[in-house]
Amino acid sequence: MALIEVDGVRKEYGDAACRVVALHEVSLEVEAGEYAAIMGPSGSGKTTLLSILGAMNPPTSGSLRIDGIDVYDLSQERQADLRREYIGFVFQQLELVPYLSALENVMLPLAILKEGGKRERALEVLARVGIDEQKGRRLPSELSGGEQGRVAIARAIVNDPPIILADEPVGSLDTSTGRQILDQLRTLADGGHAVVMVTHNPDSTADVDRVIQILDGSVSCDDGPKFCAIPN
Amino acid sequence: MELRHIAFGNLRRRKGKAALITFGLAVAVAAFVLVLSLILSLRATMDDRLSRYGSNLLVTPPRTDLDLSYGGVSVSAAGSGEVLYLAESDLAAVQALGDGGRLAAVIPVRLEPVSLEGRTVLVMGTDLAESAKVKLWWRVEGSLPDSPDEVLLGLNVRNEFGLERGDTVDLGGRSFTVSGVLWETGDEEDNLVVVDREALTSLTGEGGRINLIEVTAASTSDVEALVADIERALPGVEVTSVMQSIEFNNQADSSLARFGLAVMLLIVVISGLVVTITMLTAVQERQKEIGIFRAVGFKQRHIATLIVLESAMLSSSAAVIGVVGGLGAASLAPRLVRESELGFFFDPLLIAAGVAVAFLVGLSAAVYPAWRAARMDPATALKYV
Repeated sequence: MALIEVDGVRKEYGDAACRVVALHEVSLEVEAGEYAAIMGPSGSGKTTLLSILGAMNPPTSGSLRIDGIDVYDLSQERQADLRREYIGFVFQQLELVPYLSALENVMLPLAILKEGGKRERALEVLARVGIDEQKGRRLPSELSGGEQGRVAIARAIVNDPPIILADEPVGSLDTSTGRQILDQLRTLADGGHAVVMVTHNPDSTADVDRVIQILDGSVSCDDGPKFCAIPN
Repeated sequence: MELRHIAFGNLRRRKGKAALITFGLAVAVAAFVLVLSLILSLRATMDDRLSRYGSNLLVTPPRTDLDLSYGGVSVSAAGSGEVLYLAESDLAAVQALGDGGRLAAVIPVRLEPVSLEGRTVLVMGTDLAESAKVKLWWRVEGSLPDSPDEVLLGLNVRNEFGLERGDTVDLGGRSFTVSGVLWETGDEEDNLVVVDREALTSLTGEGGRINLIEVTAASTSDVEALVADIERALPGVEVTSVMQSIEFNNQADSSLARFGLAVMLLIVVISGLVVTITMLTAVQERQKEIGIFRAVGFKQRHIATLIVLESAMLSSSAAVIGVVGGLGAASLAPRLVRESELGFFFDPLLIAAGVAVAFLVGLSAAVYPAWRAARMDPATALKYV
């Protein structure tokens, strides 16, 4: 059984008078330890697919199963639990909370938990991505772009979720910082996480195991990066 | 890190909005404390003045006959003619009820017809110092009698007999000096000769006779209870409350309370709206941030808790600022209203009420923004839709 199973997912927006189909019967599976890139031109439906994978956007039809759990059969509350337990997000432009220190940003997914040792756990994860405690006390605005990216990854993995979803994680970063983020994602996949990254940049797919190409809401290619044509 | 740290961090970052909400709440709290303090002060002042303005209870001997008067014309002479008196022990029993400052004054009154320069006048023997304290309408030309040989004349008596301050008069066969004349009261007092009660006793030679006892309660709100207590202590006596002053006071109280309530309600509603609108704007601005919180596993109730926590923190600051400001304004208000007996009224309950209002308004105003924030769709918030 694959960690992520997408089965016949269709997503429509609007009403009967003005209906837009963002995804047509998309089916795919992602295994643990797999590093997949979803590619496609603007408006192709790749971001919609990512939000459905992230248990945040119920499909019009079809299903998403994570670790065998039918996600959209769950209540909103249980979906939130599932997001916390199974999914780590790396957002476009990283989206660190500006008024929280780097360490507090990493602790964010733990804030609603009653357990102790949150700080130690966050410090350990920060150290894993190369941020020491002193830098952890700084606000995001006091960190370099690369450091902010590493903090974003630390926040995504602090709960040790089996799935990492990254939405254009290098889109707004300089080449060097972008490279660091991609290396981190590769490392996570090598460590057993299923990593799904949305990108429109072919350079970002150099290290991925698989490219899922979306065109007009349908999977047009699902293969190794060398085999799926890069859309312009 | 817990939710309260996130709430505090957000307030620190959005200082302008936090300050605006705190200010709105603090104004409501200050206004509430000020208005409440003024109402209580006015009420206390009015109560005090009414308490001092004459007696509000009359204790008289039991009647044996029906009252034989109509339209101000008394035909009581047609009755038995028997006059009943209260005893000194009755006076002592009433005075005993005043322990603990419950009574502002207890004034025994004795009335006797006495011959003045060959004509009969009504002489009132009373405790003059006590009477002067509660009968604030008394204006005396000269001075109150301060010895048993002095009398105070009502204006009509002075005019009728052509007497002036310092004159000597023959009253019941004894010489008295006129110490003063009462200015016109428009009441029965204009026809009286007022002397010390002991002096009247020595004049008539009959002690221990009291026609009535005038009682002034320290608080008009206590009058009805006092009537019941006197009736219990002295079964059979007549106890009459002067209801007009009490009713006036009650009416004034309820009018003041209604006015104050309306003002406070208006301020509280306006302030609540300001806080709600400001918080709604803040929630809208934080759409993406809320989306991130939801994405990392926050449930709807965690988002709502965050907003309510922020409001509670701002309410705490507003409570401190508002209570201090309100009490400060209340302490300055009497200085601004000259010619007024209005004083600064302080009660610890004012602080409690101010704090309660801050939290009540702050938390109520946060309910709708918190609900909106909690219901925000994470995908929409993160612009995934």
